[in-house]
Order: sequence, then structure tokens, then C-alpha cells
Amino acid sequence: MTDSSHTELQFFGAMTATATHDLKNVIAIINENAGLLEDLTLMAQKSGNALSPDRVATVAKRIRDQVKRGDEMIKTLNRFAHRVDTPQEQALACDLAEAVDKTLELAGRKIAQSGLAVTRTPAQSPQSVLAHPFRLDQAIWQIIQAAMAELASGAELIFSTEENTLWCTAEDPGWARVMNRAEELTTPFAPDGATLHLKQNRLGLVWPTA
Amino acid sequence: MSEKVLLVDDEKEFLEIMSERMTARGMDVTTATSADQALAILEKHSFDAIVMDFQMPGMDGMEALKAMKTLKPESQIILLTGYATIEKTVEAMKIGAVDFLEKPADLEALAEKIKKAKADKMVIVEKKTEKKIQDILQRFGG
Repeated sequence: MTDSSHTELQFFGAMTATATHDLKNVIAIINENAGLLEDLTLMAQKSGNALSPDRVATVAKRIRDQVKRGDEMIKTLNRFAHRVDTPQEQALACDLAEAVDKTLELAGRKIAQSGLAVTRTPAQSPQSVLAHPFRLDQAIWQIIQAAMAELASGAELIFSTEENTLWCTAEDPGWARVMNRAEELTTPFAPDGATLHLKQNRLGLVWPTA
Repeated sequence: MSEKVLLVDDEKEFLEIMSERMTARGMDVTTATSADQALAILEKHSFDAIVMDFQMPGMDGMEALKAMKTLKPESQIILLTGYATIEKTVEAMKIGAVDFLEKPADLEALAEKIKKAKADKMVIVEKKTEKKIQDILQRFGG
């Protein structure tokens, strides 16, 4: 296995592991709500009192909310799994802003665990770039991973997207180390025609416009 | 006497429901949403068992486990987690976790583990007290 394919597998593994951990939490909450319903039923049987409709309604709402949360997570994970459907040498029209949002969503727990705060400047409109979908997500992840390793806990990493460019910056002494690693971080994405732009304290990745 | 339990998880809803169900089973439950908060509580209070999620934002599970064992070496820590690999279990047990449960957990199974943890802790504390008494007796020629 080559170094780059192992890095790709590690990215796939990290995202799957974090998403399934979150899903386990969702299932655990649904499980406890079901257990609570059983407890309430047993208590009502023992006491001879009727079950409180308000309590049952609260539990039902909690279950429904968790089902919705779990469904969103599965959709995001499923979308991610399909990013490798595209042949390796092929590039497609991808929405850059959506790729940033979904990667941040998937990596949310890992980012929170590292103590890094990520701010995403909202995109005004979809930004279509020509890239391999999986490598596009991986490029975003590489920057997050470098920031998690180099920035102090509590530091803020800021992402913004402008047309076909992804901009990232941070006000932290460790950001200089991420900037120094910029070439190394972005080399794997050169086959898609992605180029690196360093502008003052900002690291930019530019993809061909679709 | 009821078991004093510290329940640590970053999922607030999970904490809330677990706490309600455990309290209904006669346990005295304190909750914390992070390892840091749990350590602050542990500095002031003692528990028969600590039930902790292994993967939370902030302090890493292994780090939290080490810090708890340093602060209160007799702590009986049961790990409750969304993922369970043999490697992680072995590593956590080496550091001092007494048991491991994968989410979603069966509350009755967890309650059994908490009871066992309480009994084991009592033995540890009794042995410590016995040793202290023996040391005093030796020192003063008893």
C-alpha cells in the first residue's frame, strides 16, 4: 500500500469511527428513553395510577428528535461513503461550500475532542469546483488535522469559501507552523489541479472552476 | 445503603435519563458533562463508582482515567463508551478501569457492575484502614 492510499484510508477510517460513535450515542439515548417508558409503566402498574400523558409525550418527542438526529448523521455518512464512487483519475463538479460544511459535520466530535474551535463563514451561494469528491473532503480534513496538531487548545480556526477558493486562517502562534506545512498538506491534491495560495495570514486552496 | 455514583458523559440528554432511571433504582447519582467537571467534583466528594464515557470533548479518556486514579486511587471506574476495541479495553484496564460497557448498555447489567464496584472499594478501604491501624500499633508498641 502506498503512503497516499494509507492516508486516504486513515481519513476514511477516522470519519467513519467518529460518525459511528455519535450514532451509538443516539441509539443509547433512544434505548434509555425506551427503558424509562418501561420504568414508568411498571411504576404505574404497581401504584395503580395512570401513566402521565405529559411524561409519555415528552419521551416520545425525545425519541423522535433522536431518530431525526440519527437520520441526518446516516445521510452525511452515506454521502461521504459515496464520494469514492468516482474513479480516482476523474474530477467532477463539486460544491465547495457543501464539502466544507459536511466535512466539519462529520469531523465535529474529533474537532471538539481536540479543543479546537472552528468558525465557518457562511457561503452566499453554491460554489462549484472541479475536483475528485473524496480528495476535496480530504483536503479540508488535512487542514483541520494540521490545525488540531499545531494550534493551542481553544484556538479558533476560520474557514471561508470564495468562488473556487477555500480560505483558512487562525489567530494563534501555531498557525505559522500550519502555513509552513502548506506545501506538504496540499501536494496530494495537485492531480485535481488544486493550487496553493498564501496571502498574509491566510492559506488558500484553489480548484479549477467547474 | 444506596450506591454513590458519578456519571460522566457529554450527552446531556443521556445523563438526564440515566440519572433518573438510576435514582429510581435507589442510587445516589451526581452528573458531570466533561472530564474536567468530573475531576472538580471528585476533588470534593467520594463515590462508590464512577461511570464515564471514554470519548468526550476536552480531556482524552485515558488522560481523564489517569487523573482520576491519581486524585483518588481507590476510584472504581467503569467505562461506558460508543466504541469498544480490545486494545482500548486492555489499555484502560492497565491504567485502572475496573470494567467496560459498550453503549447502548443494559441498565440492570450496569447496576450489577456498580454494586460490585462498591463492594470492591469497601474491601480496598478496609485493607487501607487495617494497614493504618497496624502501622500506628507498631509505632506505639501495641
